[in-house]
Amino acid sequence: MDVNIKLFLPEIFITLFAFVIIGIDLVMPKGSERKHLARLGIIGSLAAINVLIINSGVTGTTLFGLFIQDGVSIFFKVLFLLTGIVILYMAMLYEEKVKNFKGEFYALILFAVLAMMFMASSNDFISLYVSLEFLAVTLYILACYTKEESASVEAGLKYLITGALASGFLLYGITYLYGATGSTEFTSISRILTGKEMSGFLAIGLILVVTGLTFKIASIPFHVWAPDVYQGAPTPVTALLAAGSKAAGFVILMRVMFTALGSIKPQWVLFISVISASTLLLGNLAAMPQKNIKRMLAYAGIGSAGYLLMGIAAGSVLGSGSVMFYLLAYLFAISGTFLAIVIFYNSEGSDSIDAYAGLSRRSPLLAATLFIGLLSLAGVPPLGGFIAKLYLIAAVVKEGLMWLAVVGVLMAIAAMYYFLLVIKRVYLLPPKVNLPIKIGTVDTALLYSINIATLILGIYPGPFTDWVMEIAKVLFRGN
Amino acid sequence: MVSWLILFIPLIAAVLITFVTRKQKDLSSYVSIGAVVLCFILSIDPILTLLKDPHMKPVEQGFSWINIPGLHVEIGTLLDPLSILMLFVVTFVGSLIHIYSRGYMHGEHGYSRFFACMSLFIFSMLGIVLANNFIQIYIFWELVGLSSYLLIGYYFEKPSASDAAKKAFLVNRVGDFGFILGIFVLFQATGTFNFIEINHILEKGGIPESTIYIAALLIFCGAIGKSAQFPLHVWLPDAMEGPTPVSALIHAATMVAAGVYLLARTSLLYHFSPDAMEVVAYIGGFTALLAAVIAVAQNDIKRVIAYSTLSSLGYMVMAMGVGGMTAGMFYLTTHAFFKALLFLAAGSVIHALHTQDIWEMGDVFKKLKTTGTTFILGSLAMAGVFPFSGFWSKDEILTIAFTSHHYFLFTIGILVAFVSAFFMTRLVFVTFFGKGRYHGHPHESPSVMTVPLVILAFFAVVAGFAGMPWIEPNFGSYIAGPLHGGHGEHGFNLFVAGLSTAVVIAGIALGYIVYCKELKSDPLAKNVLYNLAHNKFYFDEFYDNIIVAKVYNGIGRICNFAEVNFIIIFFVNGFAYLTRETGKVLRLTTTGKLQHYALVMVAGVVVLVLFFGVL
Repeated sequence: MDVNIKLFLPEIFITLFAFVIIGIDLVMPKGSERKHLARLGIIGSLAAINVLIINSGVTGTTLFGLFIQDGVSIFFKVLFLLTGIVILYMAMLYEEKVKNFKGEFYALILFAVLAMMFMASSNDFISLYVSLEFLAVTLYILACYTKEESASVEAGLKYLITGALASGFLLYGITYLYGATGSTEFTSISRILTGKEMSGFLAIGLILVVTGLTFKIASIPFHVWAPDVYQGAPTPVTALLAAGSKAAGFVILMRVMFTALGSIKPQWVLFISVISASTLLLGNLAAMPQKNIKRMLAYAGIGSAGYLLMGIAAGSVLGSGSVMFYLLAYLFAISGTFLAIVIFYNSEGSDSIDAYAGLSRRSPLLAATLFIGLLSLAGVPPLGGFIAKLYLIAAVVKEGLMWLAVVGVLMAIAAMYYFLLVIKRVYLLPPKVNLPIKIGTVDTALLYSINIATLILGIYPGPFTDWVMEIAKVLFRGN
Repeated sequence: MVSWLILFIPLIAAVLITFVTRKQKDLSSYVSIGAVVLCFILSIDPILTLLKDPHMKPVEQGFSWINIPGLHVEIGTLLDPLSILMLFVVTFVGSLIHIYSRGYMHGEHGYSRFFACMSLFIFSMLGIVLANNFIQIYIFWELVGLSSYLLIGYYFEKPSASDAAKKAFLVNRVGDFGFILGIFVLFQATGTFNFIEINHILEKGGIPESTIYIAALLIFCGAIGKSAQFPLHVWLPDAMEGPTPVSALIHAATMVAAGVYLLARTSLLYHFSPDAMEVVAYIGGFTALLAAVIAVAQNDIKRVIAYSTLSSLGYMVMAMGVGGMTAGMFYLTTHAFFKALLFLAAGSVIHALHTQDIWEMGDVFKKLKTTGTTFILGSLAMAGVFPFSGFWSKDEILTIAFTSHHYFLFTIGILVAFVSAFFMTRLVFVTFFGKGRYHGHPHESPSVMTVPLVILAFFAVVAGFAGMPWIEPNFGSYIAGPLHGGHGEHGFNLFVAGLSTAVVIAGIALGYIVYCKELKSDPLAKNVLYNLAHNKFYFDEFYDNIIVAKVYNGIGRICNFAEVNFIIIFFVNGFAYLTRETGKVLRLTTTGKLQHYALVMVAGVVVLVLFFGVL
């Protein structure tokens, strides 16, 4: 049996750390603080990143082609581990809100990261489905972790049921694809499909698989769960859904669309474009009337999925590189924003957008973080999000999808509107109470570094874009 | 590597002063001075490289900045003879001005702010000098606009100062708009922003001459704004509202020279469009004459120098237009020395007498010996008296105008030389000699101010020898690299040199006759031409009352009407209404009921399958 341990060494690391956390949690006195466990998790993630970078030259497939390690998977694994670190830190700030099973909270976050890493490496519909379900199960538990709050329970339940439905569609679609091609492995599917005409069997399989995957990225038609779950779930979990789970959905989508189905690209471009455009319209327009910041970010996240789908629709190296760059910029913007939301919530106990009035006078750093994070999400220069949107739009223009680019540009204006509504409250309206909000030293350092990262990605994107474009070529090697 | 250090040190200094040393005034000034002096020391190495090898290859370092298909923008530095020369001028003169400022600005409110802005300005200027592509030069071009705005408006509590800052910024924006359009035209034609690549493409030919013509004229708009050429010359005299070191820095050595530098940088473009060169030459010549005449009738010491700067800039632009790229750059270099000197010496006079009106000065030479002596040396250089630096550089321009058969421009040049000699004589005699009309007891400035004066005076006297026609290699042969289309050498023309010396002597003599007396006010004040010139030929009034009040406001009213009634009511409000209502409707799909969610999901799949699956 061909097993190359080196290829999934980071996964082994994370698994070990997660189990060690659960083990230590067992022997710790009941009701005591568990923040050290989060720190342990962060150390584990850093170690895994280190292992990834050291072994970045080791690529290939193993476990009978189920598992692949290449540039794309390494990029995404680093992305997921960074996400995990920020989420663990956020969870640490959030610990008081979690009444029971504090230790498992951290372990589950690590398991979610582990699941996403497996998703990044899936090279077969079987491993794809298993890792996807692994992530789904951990997220179902995490979404309803604060069981005392009915909103959290409701969020978890809704996520579970809609998720199960989406899984059903995905699995059904996979069977059709298997029926049409006789394989579940991406590269062999690609080989079989080369030069083939589109059949009804194949079309239905493709549509069902893509719609099943839209659940993870929260785009039309499986976006409905997002607002309720984003709002109800504990904020670190929301951030994990927004930054991690969405990126994991896209790495799978890229592998399926480009590696497995790349040879029949002309047949699915319009399909993906329509999903992208309608998602863009829905997410950005529905975000406008929102009153709760997490709910608004849920709709904004749907809008982002629309932008990212533009890169899939482009179906080119430029498109997929742009997707990766967008996710990188998105990670920093969204984690800064959510970190600010958690800190604000701990101090004020509210997620209402109106509560943010006058924040700039109470905490300039939190205000600046929201300013940079939200404007980066909106796509304002010189922030990372601007470059990301620019590349995505350029990618679809290059493929001749002018109408999609127009929708993208128009919706960027709409996004400006609802993000500026928050910024207006933060900077222009007077505060209700004029007490400064205290921020710890580590928080300050983390906020600073996240903001600087967003700025660097915007001011000097050259090396990063060149890098992702280089990585993206891997996906197209099959055809 | 060195070029990057040189570029970023002043920025670091500006940031450091703003965030760290703001409260410690002395430390702030040392950080700023240290930064610019360090830049000068670091640029010695490239200067020596150039001196050793006049035919050095340009050293270019570029990094990809934005890279999408069809658009590649890099950030980079380009060290070639041209940029090394400018590097020397900017950092050397800049260092002296910084040191001088420590004394001049003593006790001013916002001392640290001043030095932070100065460092930011040096950073922006070095960015222009070192840029290797048009986008970068444009970014720093705008940064120079911003930092000059901050410096001119330094006394922002004074309405005249804040107005002057605003004027400088807005007038520059007019030129910059043309500049960016020119960059785009050029990009459209060549597909690159990089100077060297554009030059290669130009040399190969293949770009239609009409395109080159349009691009060259549009890019010239940028130079018209920054180098204050007619008709955008109005901002420069007003900008004298800034502190005197600022005037010396931005209006002698750096900012206004940027336009000339841009013309030199793009000289190949003009080389391939003789028509555009003619336009450049005539605009330059006209500006030179106009400003020289106005300078005769000004009573503010700094304004006289300001108009003489305008006139000099016109001279340089004219030089570029008649094909004398190296001559223009030579004039720019010598001008940087003697004009910075004149401004700083004027600042020293103002520091002593607390007035800028030359009719409230007079007979202060005995009290201000160093200032007076250096000022006179600067004036002689400015007037172009043999063998001061101004003579050599002016002579080179005149020779090129003459030998390239631009006889009309040559006549203008001679005329400007005459008028310049006249008003500089007037300035010297009224300020330093004759009847004492000042109040109080003037004292010579501290050595932190006079030492830079002496150093600058030395260079104002001797810098011209570098360009003497009969030494080889001289200034011109260093600068005329393979990158530029300019001519390196020119001969010495005895007729031109003789004629210019004759008119300079005539100008000085006339000035001596009119002004070397015990005067209370200007004896020419009743003259009609004098009054026209004194009122700057009513350009400001024309712009304010006709262009701004009638044309601009008229267009503004029409736009306002259209905007309020059409765009806002129809588009903005309509669009807002539409999106808000759509948003509300879309929100209804999120009812909170799980059954509805499942329904939406299944319905969505059914629609997609029907739509695409059946197709």
